[in-house]
Amino acid sequence: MNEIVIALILLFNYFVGAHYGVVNLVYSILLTIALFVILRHIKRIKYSPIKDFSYSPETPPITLIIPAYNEKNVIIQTVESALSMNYPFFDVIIINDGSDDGTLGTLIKTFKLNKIDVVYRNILKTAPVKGFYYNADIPHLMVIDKERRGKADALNCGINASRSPYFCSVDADSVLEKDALIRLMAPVMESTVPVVACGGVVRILNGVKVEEGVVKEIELPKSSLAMFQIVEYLRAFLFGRVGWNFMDAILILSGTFSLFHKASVIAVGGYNVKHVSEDMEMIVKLHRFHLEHKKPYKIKFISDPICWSEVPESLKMLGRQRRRWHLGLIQSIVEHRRLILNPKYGKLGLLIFPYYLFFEMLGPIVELLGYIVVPLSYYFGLLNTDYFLLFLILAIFYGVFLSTIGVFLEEITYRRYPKWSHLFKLLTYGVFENLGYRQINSFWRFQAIIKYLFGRRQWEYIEEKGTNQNNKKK
Amino acid sequence: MQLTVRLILISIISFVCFLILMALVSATLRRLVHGWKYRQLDRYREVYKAQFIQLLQNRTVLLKTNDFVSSPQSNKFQAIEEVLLDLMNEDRYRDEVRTLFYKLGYVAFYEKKLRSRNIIIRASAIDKLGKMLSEPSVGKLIEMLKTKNTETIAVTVRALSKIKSKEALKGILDHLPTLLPESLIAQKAMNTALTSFGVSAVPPLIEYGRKHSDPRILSSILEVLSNTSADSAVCLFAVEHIKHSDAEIRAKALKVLGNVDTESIAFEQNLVLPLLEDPVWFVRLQAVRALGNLHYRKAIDFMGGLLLDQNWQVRDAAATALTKFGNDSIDIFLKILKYRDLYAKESICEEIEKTNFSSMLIENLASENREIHAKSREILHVMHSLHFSTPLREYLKRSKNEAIGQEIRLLINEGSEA
Repeated sequence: MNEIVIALILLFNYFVGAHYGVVNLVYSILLTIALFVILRHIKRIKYSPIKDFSYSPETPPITLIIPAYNEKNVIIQTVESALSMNYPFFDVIIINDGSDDGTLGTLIKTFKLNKIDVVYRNILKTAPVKGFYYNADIPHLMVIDKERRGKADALNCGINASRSPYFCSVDADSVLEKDALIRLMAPVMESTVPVVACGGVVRILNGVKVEEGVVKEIELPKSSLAMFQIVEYLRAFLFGRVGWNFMDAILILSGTFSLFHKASVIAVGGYNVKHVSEDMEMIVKLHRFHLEHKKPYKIKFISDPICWSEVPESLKMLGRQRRRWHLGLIQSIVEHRRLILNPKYGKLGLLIFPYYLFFEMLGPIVELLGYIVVPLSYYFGLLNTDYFLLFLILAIFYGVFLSTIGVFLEEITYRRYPKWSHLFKLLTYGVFENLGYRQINSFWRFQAIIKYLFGRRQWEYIEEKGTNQNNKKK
Repeated sequence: MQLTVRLILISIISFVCFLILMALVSATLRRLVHGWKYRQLDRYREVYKAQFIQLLQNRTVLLKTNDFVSSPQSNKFQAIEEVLLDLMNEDRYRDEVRTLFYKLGYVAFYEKKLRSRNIIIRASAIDKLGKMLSEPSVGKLIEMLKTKNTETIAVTVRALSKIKSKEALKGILDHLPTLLPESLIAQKAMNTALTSFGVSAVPPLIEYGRKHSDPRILSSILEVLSNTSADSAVCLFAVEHIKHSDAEIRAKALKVLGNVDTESIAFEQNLVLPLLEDPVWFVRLQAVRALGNLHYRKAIDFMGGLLLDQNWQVRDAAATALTKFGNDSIDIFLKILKYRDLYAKESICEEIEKTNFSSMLIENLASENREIHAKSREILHVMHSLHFSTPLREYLKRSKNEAIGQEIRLLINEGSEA
């Protein structure tokens, strides 16, 4: 009996090793691709057509859709930023999703809005709309007040009200860089294959000084948790998504800042209100729809349009966010399980979905069990001390390497953090990210799996927005 | 065996450590080098900008070109190029700066780069030649359109459109039959480039359009023409295509006709009327928009029919177009507002509010013309009954005309009692 247990434990240890090896192999491939792609992209920016497109009558109109639930502290800064875009034809629709903190009142007062009567076409069925607010002096701004049913429903409401062929979803606690929208649209206009979705980079607003909706000075946040997230986002956006995009295998575009072809979104039935992570679900649906209908399409990620967004600074709120993200991932994979290893769906079925299932969705289980079983094996003498230590060192060093490379990519490309102190701080946090922060993240993701299994699949709301100290006085 | 595995692990760890160190050192060194480089560039830019402005104002810049010759790899070369490109934006300096680029060797340098196998280097050179408005390079740029590389083609078309010469336009048009049908360039990118040639491109575009029947080419040309002011030749060209078998061409031709200034250009506006019944919705949409823009009063009754169109975009466009006819469209609005179709009625009410037609209707409440007064009142009454009362309430809040105010209060009360 004991021998069987020992054999199983050893087998599990090998499994953990193999899992770890494959995950890091994928990361290494993504990293190598990203290094080449992003450096080439930086050179291409120098002759990009954004200046021509920003004055062209050919540039398609866009609606910026900003869903807001209890965003009183941050909404004005976001709307100001949205209204100041350098883009020829755009409008901004704010959807007040049943806020009870005075978000609507703040908007009405600040932008001197009047209630108007608009025919609302409920193409994508949403919770009832209570009113439309408008100021003829700001004709490209409209606020819609509706009953609360979550972010996906609010986005659907915005799509119903939009009159543009494209829309861009933006979080209510975000600040867009002036050229972000035209930079996001340029590859869509230049592509000879229809681009149905296109995402940009999300960076962390905490610590950044914003005046009248424009980023004035970039500083790092004081909170360590926000610092860890900066390193994490740099890694995710500058090499993760760049790498997947190169392989035409993007499965996640951040809902914080992504552009969509409206007719395609309507064709797939809009955002799924039952999912807690509506952005990933939308991308999966778009892939699936176009593959099933054999329609040519592209889903792109571009690394130069930038949106600054607030991140949680407390463990409690960050935990909520991460559990929600992972729950959303599980929901999407389970709902579209027939895609897994299905050759009909090409790369999506044979590569992307299996990767997300085995390594992203189930990864936390292996990782957490690994944290328990491997040290126990060592304790009971089932693991050779040298091997144990060497694997541990390799795991930590490789994690540090990935974080360092994320910061390095930022340094050799966009360099948004200009001071020497920024560089050293980011590198330091890149090292320490692997000692605790990463493990807590795995724990939250593991919690999400447990929650899913026990049927607790509701949206976990993040409070404490507007914590950015630099902008509080505004 | 165990020793080998251990050695492999130690080697991997050492390699990872080496990579981390490399990343740290490269990031630091790069920052130091760039710091130095950009400080020098800033200094150069400041110095040369002042010098060039002075020389350009004195009209002596072309005599002093030797002072500014530099090695292509140097910071001085880059700084001068940036300063000159910046000065190129000012009309008064443009011609001299263009010559300067030629004399200082920039044009030759970038023309040489056109032969590079590296797409990025080639595209950067093409872009630079376009920005330098280098007319002598047009021939070489046109050669680039023969490549099958979409990136090179997109940048070349843009560069040629910046140069704006007849030869540049001809070069693009000559290659259009392969570029668009073979999807070597996106239609939007091509249209943007052609539009930037401006009015001078109109006659060659029309001439070219008459020789080609490919729908993608025709669509592109009509789209470009719709962005320029329409003269009689443009108008005639559009009229020739409003009966085209391709719906997109019909719609684009109507878009062009919608821009025609009928006071200076005469054309048979009746020709547009049958397109109000086109089976394709976006053709009907463009037809009603065109007739609204043209203020073709004889079309009012026909356009009214589209207020009940099955497509909401057409209904909205019809309502918007009709509001442009002022009091002449009151009858048709009144007629449709008496129908049972709630969607159509709401579309009309919404457009009446959005286009501010409601203000005219409210002002009509003080009109001495009893018929206009009665009809306007009736429309406002229907709007109020459909909960489109905001303009009435806003008027009461803001305006001082007591007679109109009294009428509105009555209207609102009637609605409440009903």
